[in-house]
Amino acid sequence: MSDALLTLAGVSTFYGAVQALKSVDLVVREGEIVTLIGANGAGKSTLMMTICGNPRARAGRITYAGDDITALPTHLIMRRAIAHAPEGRRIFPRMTVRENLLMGAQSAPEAAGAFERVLALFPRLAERIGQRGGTLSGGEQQMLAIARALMSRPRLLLLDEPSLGLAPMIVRQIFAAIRALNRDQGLTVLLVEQNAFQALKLAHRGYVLVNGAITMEGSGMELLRRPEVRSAYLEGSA
Amino acid sequence: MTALREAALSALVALGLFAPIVGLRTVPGEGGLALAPQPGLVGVLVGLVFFGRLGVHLRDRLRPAPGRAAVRPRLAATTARLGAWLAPALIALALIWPALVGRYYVDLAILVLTYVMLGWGLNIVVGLAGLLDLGYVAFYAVGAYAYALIAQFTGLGFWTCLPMAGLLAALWGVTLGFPVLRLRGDYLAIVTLAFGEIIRVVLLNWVSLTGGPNGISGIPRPTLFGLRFGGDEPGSFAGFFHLTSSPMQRIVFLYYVILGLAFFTNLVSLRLRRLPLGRAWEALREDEIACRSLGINITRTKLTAFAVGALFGGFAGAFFATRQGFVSPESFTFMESATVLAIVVLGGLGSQLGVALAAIVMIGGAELFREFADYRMLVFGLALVVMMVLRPRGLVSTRTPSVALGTPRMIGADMVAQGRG
Repeated sequence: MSDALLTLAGVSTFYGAVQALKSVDLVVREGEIVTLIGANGAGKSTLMMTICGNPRARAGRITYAGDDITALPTHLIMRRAIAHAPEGRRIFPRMTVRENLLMGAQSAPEAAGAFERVLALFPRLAERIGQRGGTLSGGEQQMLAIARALMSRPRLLLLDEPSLGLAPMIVRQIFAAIRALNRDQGLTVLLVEQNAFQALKLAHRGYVLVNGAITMEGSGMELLRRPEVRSAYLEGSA
Repeated sequence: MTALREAALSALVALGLFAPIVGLRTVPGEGGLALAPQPGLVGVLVGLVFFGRLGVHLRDRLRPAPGRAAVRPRLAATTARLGAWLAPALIALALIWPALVGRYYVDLAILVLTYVMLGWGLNIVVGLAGLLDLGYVAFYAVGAYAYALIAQFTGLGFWTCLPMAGLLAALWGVTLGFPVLRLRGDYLAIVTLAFGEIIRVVLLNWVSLTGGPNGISGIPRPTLFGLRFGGDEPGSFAGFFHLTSSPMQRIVFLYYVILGLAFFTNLVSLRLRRLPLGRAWEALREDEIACRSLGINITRTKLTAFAVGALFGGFAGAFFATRQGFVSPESFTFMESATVLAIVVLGGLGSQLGVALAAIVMIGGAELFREFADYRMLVFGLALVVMMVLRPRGLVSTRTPSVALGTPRMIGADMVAQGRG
């Protein structure tokens, strides 16, 4: 494994007086899939949003590709080849698939050929290109959300719960697409998941977040074998 | 049985509504106004509601529910097809309008076009960017007063002042935009409402500059390449072309000025919608968080929407001032904001043709039926209710994709989940 692409050092985030992240340390190296698992309300999505600068970290440092991005405004962070597929998909329902994808290329106009690339990855979207986002099925919407994020040719993809509300078969398809992106195009992925079993199987390394603090880290397989992880997140799902 | 009970209930509600509104009429009596009851008219109206409700029930009974649902998309498709030739027909009619009708109708068309332009301007803020603005009249007022004051103090003409008035209004748009950047929905609406009132109250009370409630009069009229209207001495329109001077010339000229301004507004909105900025506005309306994730500068996107919307409001205001020759704070009450907003909503948020149609119906209709002014609010309310039942997303509720391969496939609003976007 090569250099660290994204580093969080002692990052703390607050919502008003409530501390959501407690001095989180996390490293994502170039070419890795790293997953972050944890229960509801553990702060997984907050961690993702903090990387994007919204809300801003109140303490600690976030470094991306060697630059300190802790204090940068959100839109400038997102223009540094970081893409974020937010929780709950958040596609634009009244816009067509094509328009949704073009919105993804908005911040990186030089991304030529991005269109063909993402459509090759998700052929289903090519069939639906003129259809409105809101009329797609849940799985198609998730594909669209990922494809939209990929339009800016990111080095790092932040994926927030891509399996949310989807049938197991669709989840497997989406995870297969993530693995293919990582293997074939060297895309670095930080994946937040409730579906701990599948996420840990997919990831090179994983972190466990409990009440805003990292409690465990290790390779995906290592974490899968840990009894604490098994009892807390995997009971009945393996 | 349920049909009868429901009809009776509707009639009861109607009685409660109509009894005070229609049932009592003020007539001049001894020592002031006296109330004269009109039980007959109330009876007729209540009866209409009773049998109307019964009729609706019967129709539902005769035609089963699935049949009704199937009618809706067909209706939407029909309006979409209508739109294809309705827009060019309207434009052609607008171009030759002064040749067809008399002075009153040209004057009326000027008024309608002013509101079409205001509607298109507000459409950028509300329809495209999804920012609910209840104080749009503020920019209209800024434009009108900017022109009136600049003309008064510098002696510059309409065409020089027009861009200045627009830019000043845009500046105020940005000024309003900054404090409300973090607000959404209801909160944004309240602040914009207050902003509209603040502008009006300042105009009312800054007597030394604005003349307060007396307003500003003697605002110069627009000229055609330096030719004045009125009189037939050299340097006037009639004198230059050796015509006999008539007030109609000025009115027709004003008509074409506002028509040109409205077309300009439409052209700019349509062009902007196809640019990345316009797409960012629409994306902002759909989902702000997704916009942030995609690296869109929310601050800039919101401020430009406010600024561009205000710009056109300012243009319309300057035109209003030059048409009236007089401005006072009375012309810029909340009612104006509400009317323009109603036009945008009735027309279907984001639809250019819909806004134009709604302006024609609302402004033209209200003027034509001036004799029934007493019932205007009643009819207006009824129209709104009927609209919300039949076309909950406005007259023209389809949205044309801003980019498409081949023929854009239109999907009616009724197929998209309600309440999104």
